[in-house]
Amino acid sequence: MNCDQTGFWTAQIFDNGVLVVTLPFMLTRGGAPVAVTSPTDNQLVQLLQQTYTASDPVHFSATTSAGGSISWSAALSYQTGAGYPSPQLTDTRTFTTTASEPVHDETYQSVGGQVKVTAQTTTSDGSTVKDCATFYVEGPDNIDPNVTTNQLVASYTSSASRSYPSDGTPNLLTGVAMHEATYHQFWTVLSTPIPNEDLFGLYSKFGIAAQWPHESYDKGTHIGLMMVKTTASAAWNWLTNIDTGMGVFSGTPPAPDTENKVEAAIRYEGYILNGKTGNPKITKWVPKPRALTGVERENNALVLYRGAGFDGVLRDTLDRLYLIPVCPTGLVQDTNKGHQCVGADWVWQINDFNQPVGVEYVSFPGSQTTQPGVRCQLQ
Amino acid sequence: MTRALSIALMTVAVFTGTRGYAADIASLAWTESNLDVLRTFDKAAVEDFVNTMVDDGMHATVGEFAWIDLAGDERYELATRQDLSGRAYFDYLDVYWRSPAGKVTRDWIEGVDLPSLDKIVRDLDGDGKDELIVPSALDRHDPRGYPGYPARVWPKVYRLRNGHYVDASAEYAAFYDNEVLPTLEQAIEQARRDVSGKPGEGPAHEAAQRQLLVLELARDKIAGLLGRPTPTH
Repeated sequence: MNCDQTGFWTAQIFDNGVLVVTLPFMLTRGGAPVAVTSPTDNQLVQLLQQTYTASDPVHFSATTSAGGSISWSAALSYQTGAGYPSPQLTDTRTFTTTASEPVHDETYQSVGGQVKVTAQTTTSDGSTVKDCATFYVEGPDNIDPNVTTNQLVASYTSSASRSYPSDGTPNLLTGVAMHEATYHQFWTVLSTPIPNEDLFGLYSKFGIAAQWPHESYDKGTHIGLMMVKTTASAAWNWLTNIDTGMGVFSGTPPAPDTENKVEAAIRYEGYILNGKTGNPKITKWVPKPRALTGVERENNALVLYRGAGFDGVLRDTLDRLYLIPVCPTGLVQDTNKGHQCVGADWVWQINDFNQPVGVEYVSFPGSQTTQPGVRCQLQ
Repeated sequence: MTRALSIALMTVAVFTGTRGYAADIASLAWTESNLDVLRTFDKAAVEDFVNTMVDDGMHATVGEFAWIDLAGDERYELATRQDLSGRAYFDYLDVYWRSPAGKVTRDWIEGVDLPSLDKIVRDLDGDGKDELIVPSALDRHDPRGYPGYPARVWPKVYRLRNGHYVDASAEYAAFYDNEVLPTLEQAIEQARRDVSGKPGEGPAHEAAQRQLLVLELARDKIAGLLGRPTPTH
């Protein structure tokens, strides 16, 4: 028998193709010459240390009648319901226990998932015997929302958030985390309104609702508080998840991108105010509109973070930000001076006509089928 | 001899870096004879190409690309799925065309969380020209799904007309009748069961109601498109 054959079985006896006897039974392990005593099958190990990013030490021990050392393998794997990250996260550790040091400890940091454990030893007749167990590293049951809020504010206002506007909204990312993920990095098969996937069949087979990284609605192409691209670290380290989202928005974005969304918003605002040298299609708006405030720049950046309603043409991009210059007189002329509002100053207006999705993402109050925008859910 | 040398140089170029290959991709004829060379360009090189084709808009990340003879004319087009959010939400389908004279143009189609290209590109009517099936926004609301709020999408069909893709969904009634509406009706029935199975107030009940409502909106949208009476619900 190998390790994967334990569990519930059914034996069926047929007489000329007719089922006559059904016999359920269970195969278990135990006893000599080697038997894993810790961790136990289906044990859940939570990430409770180091601000909910690391586990307590997991004890590995086994009884053996063979008397020799025991070679261990602990193979962790994780993938969302949609198959991300791809390839799956794997983390295999090997170590040895002996009669004098019968317990070995391993700590799991910024990783989680299913861990298949094998303990193997050699008997006196030279044959190899082994025993197995499967346990799970999961997220914490609950991260205090105040701790989450503090971290979101700290990340956005940190020096790494190089484009945080001094007159901006320190708790802006709390609204993003509410909108994108209902403020939860980890989620279970029983969570409402939309449950997570039953990864590894842990709930369907054993009734265990583990805390897995919170998957996007499509079963996990994106993950966690900021719903960033699913990577192992963004899934299992909620601090990394926040910092990754912050990096895209106001810090250092993932390569090869070099410009965060606040920087892009300010660049586009600059094109409106000053034109773009060398691009005759982008002449300055005349008279010059006022510069935007930090909060207004954040709103333009949020629309870019959402990323809908755009194409690759710069002139169109300038018309699809959260705020758009509007000429109150309606008299607009393209002259050698620039894009001119005749008889009045340009005024900035919320651009819900050209950019309905982005405006909804930022500031929509919500409806029967649509949730409130980021600014309506600040914590 | 010259062409063989050119191919060798191009192949070397691809493996020595990623920047500056937009011109290489654009300068080659996108034909069967160059297909092996075109297919040596990796994702970074294609990303460089697509970002050179735009005039300083947002940086586009390419999630997937393929060289496909979409028009059935033995010339190849570059089909790409692109993200502009910086978070790998591949909402944009960009198809690049290169004329025999070397002019590169593109069709830009915005969708919602696009599936892989093999699910998008299909010859629905068997005329040898590929249609594009693009999950698209149902209305002006945010089409992306969020926890408790279902994605508001329906599949649009784009067909080739005068060398470019245009929305021609209404012309593909058989596609909707055979492939979309039956699945949608099943989903609506399941959603009704979910609503009745989650009685009372609460987030789960509200989410189930939203799911049902959005599915019905999608069905009604298609019915309206095909000129059929909108089912009452």
